[in-house]
Amino acid sequence: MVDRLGNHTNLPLLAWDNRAESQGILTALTDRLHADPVAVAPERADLESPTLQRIAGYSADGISQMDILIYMDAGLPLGTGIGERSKEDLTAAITRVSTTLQPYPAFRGWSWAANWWLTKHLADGANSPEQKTAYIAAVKLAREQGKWDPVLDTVSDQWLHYAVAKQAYFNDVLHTVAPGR
Amino acid sequence: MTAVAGPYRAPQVYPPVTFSNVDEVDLHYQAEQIAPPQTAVHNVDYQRRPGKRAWGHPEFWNESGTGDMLFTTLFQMVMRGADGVGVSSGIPPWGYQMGDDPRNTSAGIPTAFRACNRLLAQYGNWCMTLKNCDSIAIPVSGRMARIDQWGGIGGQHFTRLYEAYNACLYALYPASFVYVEDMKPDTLAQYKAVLLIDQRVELEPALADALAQARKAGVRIFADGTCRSELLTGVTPLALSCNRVEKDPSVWQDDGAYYRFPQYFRAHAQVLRQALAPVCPPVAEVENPEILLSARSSGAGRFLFLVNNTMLDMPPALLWRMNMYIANRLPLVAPVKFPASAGAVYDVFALRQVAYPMPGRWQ
Repeated sequence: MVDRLGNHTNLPLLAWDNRAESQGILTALTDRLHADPVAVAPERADLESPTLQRIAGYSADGISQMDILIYMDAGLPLGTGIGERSKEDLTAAITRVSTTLQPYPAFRGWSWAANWWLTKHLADGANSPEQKTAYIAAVKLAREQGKWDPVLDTVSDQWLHYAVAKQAYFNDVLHTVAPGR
Repeated sequence: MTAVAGPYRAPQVYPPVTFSNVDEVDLHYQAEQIAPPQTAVHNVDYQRRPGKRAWGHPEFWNESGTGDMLFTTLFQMVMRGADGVGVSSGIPPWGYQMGDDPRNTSAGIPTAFRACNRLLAQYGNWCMTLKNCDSIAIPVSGRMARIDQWGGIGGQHFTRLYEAYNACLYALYPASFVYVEDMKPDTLAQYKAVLLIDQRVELEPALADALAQARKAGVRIFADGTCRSELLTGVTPLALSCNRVEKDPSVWQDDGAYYRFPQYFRAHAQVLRQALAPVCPPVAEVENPEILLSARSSGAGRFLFLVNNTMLDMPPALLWRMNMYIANRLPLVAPVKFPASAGAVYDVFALRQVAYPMPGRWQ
């Protein structure tokens, strides 16, 4: 089971929102229970959000879930294309979701991204105009004659590792905030 | 526990690199309703990494309630070694069932999922103990992947590998992808045949070494017509080129691809069977090339998976008055002939030994 919990649209689901028909009802109920000496304990109205209740339900049924951090169709390298998010924002999301879900057996960890796409591919992945020129000449030679130039490895390594480098960073954050997950 | 989705068919995905620092492989593929045919099973073999679990959850937006789309898709993934399979959405996929038309079969969708899940819950852990035992290897060129550009269902090289892989499946010779990063000098020597597909640049040294060792060990090495022949030595040319899918008029979002693609795979399969038959037998014999087979093993036990993927042989103008290709498969009874060395044969799902109607034949 994978859930898109790690982005701006779903992070709020970890708690009740503050609307009158959500947390507002629970607050009013708690106040009434406090005021009524024969009522049940007010803590009975201290309910988890529906999302956390669902994950508790998964836990009870032996179902595991992982969370998806990256919003749909983000660009690689991150910060380009759709879904631009700062490193701080991503770190905060991993931290909040992981620490909130840590007590739930259903929480297995993260599937970092579903759809992310290169915005710098092939020659656009070069890190200097000179490298780009060399790459373009090399790829032409490769396609036309089958000759392999090491610059093709160098440049493709750069764009192949956009995602991998981010994954390494996300792994580190997870292992810091939720060891063993 | 960490995982990531490539996602399948994205140009930045080269599995040995992409999944190098996560614990598991997420076989996610968002195809937006009509995935090109045979991508789910290809996804398993192309993206799975040694020692890491691979989880698949394809889209079933067009499952019509008969289970035809669901069963063939998920069981093909299972037969190739996915560690878990499910669905990308809720059940039923659109969140509701259209029940006010008596011709509509969508009310059967939850039942189809329940049947599938019940079976896989029972056999899933056991399936995870099995290993593929393929005779055919298709090396993936890291170099070609590094210069691959969009074409066909993803990159052009990616698409040619997909086409070759499915041709092998249709030929009853399921194939393993082998990455250079996983290769030891004797890796390819363990197969009966190697298919070089779209090798158009100088071979990586590790691949060249492994091919040389394989050749010494008597492994037959074939090359399709998309390879650059002057770069290859000691190979047998195949009378096919895996470039039909990339020339298809409409690979994306087209139910008609389910009518056209099997024709490409069947044509290639015919050529492959002629080329491979003298080298090694297929995993079993079935006359219908759209019953797809995979052999897996555990110790001395050999487990044969057969999945019916038979498309309706009906032109779009007729079928589309009723339903879609993606959602339908032809039910059938088919004879299967096992290799002579099959020994005792058991029907695993029926929990009984199979009595042959005739030697080596069972239906």
